[in-house]
Amino acid sequence: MKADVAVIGGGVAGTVAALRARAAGRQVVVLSAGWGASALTSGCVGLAHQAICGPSRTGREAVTALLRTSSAHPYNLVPGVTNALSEAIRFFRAGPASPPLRGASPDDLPLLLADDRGGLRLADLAAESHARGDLRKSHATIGVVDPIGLSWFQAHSVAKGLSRSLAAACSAGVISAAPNVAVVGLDYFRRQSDSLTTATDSARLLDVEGAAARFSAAIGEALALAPVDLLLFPPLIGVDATDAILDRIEAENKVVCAEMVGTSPGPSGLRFQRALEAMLAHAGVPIIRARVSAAPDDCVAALSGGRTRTLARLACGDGAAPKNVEARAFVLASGRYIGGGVEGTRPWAEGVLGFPIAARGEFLERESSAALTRDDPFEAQSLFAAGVRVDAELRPLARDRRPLYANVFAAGDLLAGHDGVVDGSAMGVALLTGHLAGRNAAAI
Amino acid sequence: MTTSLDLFCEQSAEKPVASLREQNGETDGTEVAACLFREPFDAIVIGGGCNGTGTARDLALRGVRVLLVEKSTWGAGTTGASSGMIHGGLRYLEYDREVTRKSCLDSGYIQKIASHLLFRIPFIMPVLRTDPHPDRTLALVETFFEAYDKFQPLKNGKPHTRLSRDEVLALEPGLTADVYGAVTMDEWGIDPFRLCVANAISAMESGAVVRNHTEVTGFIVEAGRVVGVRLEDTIDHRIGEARARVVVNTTGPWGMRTAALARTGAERAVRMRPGKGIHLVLDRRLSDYAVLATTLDARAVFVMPHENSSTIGTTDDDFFGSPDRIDVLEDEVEYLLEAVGRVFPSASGARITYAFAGLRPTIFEFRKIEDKLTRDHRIVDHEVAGGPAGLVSMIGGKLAAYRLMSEELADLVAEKIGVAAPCRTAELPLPGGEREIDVDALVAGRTIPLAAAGRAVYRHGTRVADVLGAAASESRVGIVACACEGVLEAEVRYGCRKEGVRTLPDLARHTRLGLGACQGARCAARAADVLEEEGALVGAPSSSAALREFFVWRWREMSAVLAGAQLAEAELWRWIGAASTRGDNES
Ligand SMILES: Cc1cc2nc3c(=O)[nH]c(=O)nc-3n(C[C@H](O)[C@H](O)[C@H](O)COP(=O)(O)OP(=O)(O)OC[C@H]3O[C@@H](n4cnc5c(N)ncnc54)[C@H](O)[C@@H]3O)c2cc1C
Ligand SMILES: Cc1cc2nc3c(=O)[nH]c(=O)nc-3n(C[C@H](O)[C@H](O)[C@H](O)COP(=O)(O)OP(=O)(O)OC[C@H]3O[C@@H](n4cnc5c(N)ncnc54)[C@H](O)[C@@H]3O)c2cc1C
Repeated sequence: MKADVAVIGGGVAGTVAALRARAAGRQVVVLSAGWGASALTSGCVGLAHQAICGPSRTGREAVTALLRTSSAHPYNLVPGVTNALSEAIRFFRAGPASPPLRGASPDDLPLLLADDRGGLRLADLAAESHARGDLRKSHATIGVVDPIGLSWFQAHSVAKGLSRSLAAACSAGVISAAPNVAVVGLDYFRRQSDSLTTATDSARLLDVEGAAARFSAAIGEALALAPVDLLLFPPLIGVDATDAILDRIEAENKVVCAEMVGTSPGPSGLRFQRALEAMLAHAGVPIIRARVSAAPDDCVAALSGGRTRTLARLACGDGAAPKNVEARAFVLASGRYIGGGVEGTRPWAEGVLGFPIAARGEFLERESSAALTRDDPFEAQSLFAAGVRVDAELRPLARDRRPLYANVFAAGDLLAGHDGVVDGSAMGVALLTGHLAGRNAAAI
Repeated sequence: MTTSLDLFCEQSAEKPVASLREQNGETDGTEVAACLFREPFDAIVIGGGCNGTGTARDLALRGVRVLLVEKSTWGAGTTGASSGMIHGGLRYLEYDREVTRKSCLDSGYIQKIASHLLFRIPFIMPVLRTDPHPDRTLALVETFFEAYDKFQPLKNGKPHTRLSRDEVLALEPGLTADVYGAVTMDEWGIDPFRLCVANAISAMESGAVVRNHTEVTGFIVEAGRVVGVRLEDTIDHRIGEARARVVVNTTGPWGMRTAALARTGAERAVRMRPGKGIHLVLDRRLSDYAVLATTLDARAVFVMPHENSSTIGTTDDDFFGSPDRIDVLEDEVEYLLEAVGRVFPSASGARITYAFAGLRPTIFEFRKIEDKLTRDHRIVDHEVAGGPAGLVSMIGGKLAAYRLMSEELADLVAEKIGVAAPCRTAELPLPGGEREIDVDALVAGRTIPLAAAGRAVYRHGTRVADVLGAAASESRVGIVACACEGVLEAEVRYGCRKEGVRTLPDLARHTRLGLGACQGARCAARAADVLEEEGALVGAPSSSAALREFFVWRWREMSAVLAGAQLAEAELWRWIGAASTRGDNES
């Protein structure tokens, strides 16, 4: 198998890298062992963490603040990072098929969205189904849908939480008035409820032919009892036809409809991942389902440093006779632990070529995971900022702090120095570094 | 801070700080609590492990007016960190057969009074080909178990069997190909948390006042005599006092610290040499039998199936730190995996979801090790052990012998306060253990998943009907709150109303919710909402804060053993935890 650029990893970072290299006219192939973290997200993108009830900042301002506090963050690799981010986002949103993200530019205030526990969430970009529910727009009454019979969603506590959250946001001056929050009982799922234990199961029901019409009618009945300006659903509006279903409900019931952002994996992540794959297909980038490993002589651990080489190929597929993938340039976008880019074995190593893994600014040897953790799981954890270190071109470094290969680049969760749970930049990093890695790989 | 009785009792007007108390038809909690706290008790029992709850129950059944306090929740100390085995004292066989006989007899009693909570654990003791004399070793092991067989009928145990290589591999295909032969042995296991909950409830129903999340922070000492305790609610930090004629210190490895609160040097009479032990919990059931293995330093360890997981245990090391913070160390983990991996290879590559640690409250003694009996437990009457009067302590005391030890301790207390009523705990069933429940009949015609119903019956026995009755409505009776461990939402509500559940970690200990393969990623957020609905979160600012506490607690038990595929699991768990606790708009 031959290509100009081979991208390892089919998540958001790998997809953007592949699209960017393809846009430069290269033959590109994506090799993916399966779905990674990207398929588990809500599809909301933050560029950097912002406190919801803190000062109102644009994405650009939040990124600047992050740069001031975190010198190891991958944003520091890129001069003029906010412009580079804008460009990456512009590129992604202008992409083929239907890019899965809508929303503001880094120069706007982020969208203010409700999550499915009644908390608030800021997002610089979000899926259309979420973005429709921007709470910065004023609403007199918000309805939280209570899909009767679905045990996984507790509308009353969500509504209570949301009401509390909105009141806090209002007193912090984030929104000018706190809307009323009502629960809107929806009798649609009752009969099937036994088997609908997850949001994804429930969502699939609405993709069935004729379901949208019945669903919309049921909503009409519910709204007749309790009129609202904005109707918020748990994330269950189909897996395939979400936006079309929402359009229909809105048109037939004259109400704005949106999904709340899922706090645990569900249909939104599936849609996001599928949209990424649709973009690749549209751009003519094949996705090959296979696990990739180093060809026998090419493992970083086996090579001494000192000289920069060119990687010619990777081995593709398990089993007795792995095929070779030859390319002029390679992009590693293999994620962290979920994606599989960083192996949990000792000594610590990157999964394909064996690049050393860095955390706390140093390369790891055989450290225990526990040594890289802190008591509070939601504080910054070195364990969850571990990854490969790269030079300014995004080429992974060997232990001598030099890139071993001139034509291998890395992007996304695989990079060291960012802990998305704390710094709120995981998807931003994936978009930015995927874009740059794709551009650099295309230039080889 | 002021010390005020009324302050402490006020809270019951709000909602169930001590919901346990409200059972037993006591309609007005405030009144009951106030009068009970104002009037002295006969006995105050400190510590809600097997020994404290067992002693409180025993005393209450004799008509003694008891206050039982536990600073965390029932079983949260050593008892919950144990292997949960109600064994028959196998290891005393070499030294003192009478102890083995007594242990087996008492194991038989526990089976009778808590039949719903006991489960059989058949053990396989494999001998490997790598043994220099495998035949001789097998014969030796067999002789040993033959001696144990004589006592097995006392505890309804099965005699040993000897298995050939083929036979044992057919039973447990996961065993190493190096196995030469094996001997089987039969013991009983229990959910130690449920045992403590059942004892606490029984004590309460017999008239005791029982409170979890209530810490003894000091003693009231008058004229060299302990006459009461100072108390603090560990969640909302309200304080109070209670008085009694005898105070019982059954705080396990905290025993010295508790005795020291009297400031009379009482701790010198309860010196301990705590032995730390850890367990590893794997994400799945690897075997049907418990399999024994030998460590590099010739100790016996095991891998044991438990519910949907497997447990590997245990270590035994000196420990000098605080019993409130026992960390699991990497070399302890490796030590166990090495040993178990040799006989059961897939165990060493398995995903470890978490580890837990506890302290054996071992008596401080370097003397003759064969004197195992005195090593196991001691009851100290401080009045005759250097003072102060009014205080008695227990050191040691195995889970398997908790009933007997509690009886012994209760005898002493009863004698001190002049109560002649006899002990009734050997015969009187614990709440739930009165008779067997037919699970199929229970779910017939209702939408309750059979597996979850089975778990509810295991945990609650005859009380399961009340548990199901706690569902928000009949249409929600089958709603499963934790899919990994099969916990019904009704059980969550029941825990809040009847078992004093006030936090998510309480709930996890009482029901196992959130302790399965996903460590609460799928269920904890919803459970927090249910706790809030039930008004159980007294003192916690919000359900998000309660949820956060849960994730911090799980992280402590997860983070020590993160490796391999579990890292991906932990990364996912953390994203979900962060998203669902962000809730109330941090600023
Ligand atoms: C539950 C959850 C919620 C999240 N929420 C947010 C959020 O709200 N906001 C936010 O910004 N971020 C969030 N994130 C983080 C975000 O999802 C990740 O940062 C992002 O998806 C990383 O993308 P990636 O392309 O780098 O890696 P991944 O999406 O993990 O992709 C890695 C890819 O590499 C492939 N791969 C790995 N090794 C090999 C190999 N040897 N051969 C072939 N293929 C290989 C994998 O199969 C996979 O396709 C969340 C993550 C999770 C899990
Ligand atoms: C690793 C390990 C494995 C074991 N396996 C077994 C086994 O398989 N079978 C067996 O029979 N035995 C076993 N044991 C021994 C057994 O667990 C203990 O001997 C027994 O549980 C001790 O119970 P306890 O009630 O005395 O102490 P604990 O269970 O520790 O109870 C003491 C309680 O007091 C509370 N407390 C402390 N200070 C205060 C205060 N100031 N105010 C209020 N409350 C306070 C604590 O929170 C705690 O809950 C094992 C022990 C360990 C460590």
